[in-house]
Amino acid sequence: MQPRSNKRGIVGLLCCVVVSAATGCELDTAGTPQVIAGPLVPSPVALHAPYVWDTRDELMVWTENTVSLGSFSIDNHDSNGAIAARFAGLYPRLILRGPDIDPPARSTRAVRLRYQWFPDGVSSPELWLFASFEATNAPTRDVQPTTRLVLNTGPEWKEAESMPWNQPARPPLDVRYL
Amino acid sequence: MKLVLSLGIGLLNLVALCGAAGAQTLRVPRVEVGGEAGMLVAIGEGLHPMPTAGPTVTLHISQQDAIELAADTIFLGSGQSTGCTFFNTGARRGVRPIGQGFDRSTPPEQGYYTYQKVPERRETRPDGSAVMYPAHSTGEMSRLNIAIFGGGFERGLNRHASFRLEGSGFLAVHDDGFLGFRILAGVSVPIGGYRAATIK
Repeated sequence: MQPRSNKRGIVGLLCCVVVSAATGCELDTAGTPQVIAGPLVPSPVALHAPYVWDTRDELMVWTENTVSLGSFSIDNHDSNGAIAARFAGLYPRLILRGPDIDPPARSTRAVRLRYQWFPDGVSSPELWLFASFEATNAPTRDVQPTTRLVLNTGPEWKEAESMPWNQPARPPLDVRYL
Repeated sequence: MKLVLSLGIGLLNLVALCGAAGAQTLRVPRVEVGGEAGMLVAIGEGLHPMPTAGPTVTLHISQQDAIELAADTIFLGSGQSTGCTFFNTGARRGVRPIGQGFDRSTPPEQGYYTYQKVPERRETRPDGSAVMYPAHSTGEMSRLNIAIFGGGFERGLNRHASFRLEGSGFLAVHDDGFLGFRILAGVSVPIGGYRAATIK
């Protein structure tokens, strides 16, 4: 016959096992990430319309700065100017840094892009363009809200609007630059 | 199959020992301490053996029942400092005869504990800005979500030590499921030594 104390010990152990089985915990001592700001890109020209860049001078602010990366030219044969970029290689990487917006563009929900795409040789019928926002009200400082624009091939002028990318229900952003 | 053990793993292992008293029996003290070492082999994309070792503590509730605690640790060399600890708790029944063994059986569940030290990291963003993530450590104690099966034995060597050997297989049933097995051998030392007694 089992002593009573033995039964109590076994019952206690079983209780501990049941509690352990139902729980679990995590410990993370991660501190706050520190953000080191990048180069400033001041805008020396006044825009003819708020947050619209069309003229050669307005567009050159995007292409002629220390952050933008790639081979660009300004095409202003049309009434509306455009930045012409050539994509080369399997995974082309181009960076276009927009001018600093002061004061920030409030309650920004999307980016709209007017474009033409002339395929050169074998290429995908679709191109993804990512737009990252530096916003004063971003949910986290270390991760910039990012959206995606899907561009389709074809010589005609088209418009693309960004869609939510890394946050399913992103609140409007107060954008400092794009 | 993703090998979860690459992040480091500890196991919470409930061990039950069922013993049989021999003709010459001993009174066990309240506390026994010891150590065990062996090999853990995770089966993922191939076999991944890892040495493991750690201390054990046995707390006797009575002459026939005990709770056993152990912490077996493995270290994984993956650039970052990663370790894991096996936490074993167990109930044991039976008395310890010199020269005779105890059968060990393993219970149906166990969990794991992971530990990782992450060094400082710098990430440069396309706009030329940079984010500095400070060094930190992470730890996770899982629920008991690993099914195990196995057994072993324990033999008294003399009045001051006993030898133990066990082997078990395990199967994780969480999202990144994995399976493996381990073999551990060790020595247990009674505090104050075993004393002669007759258990009826």
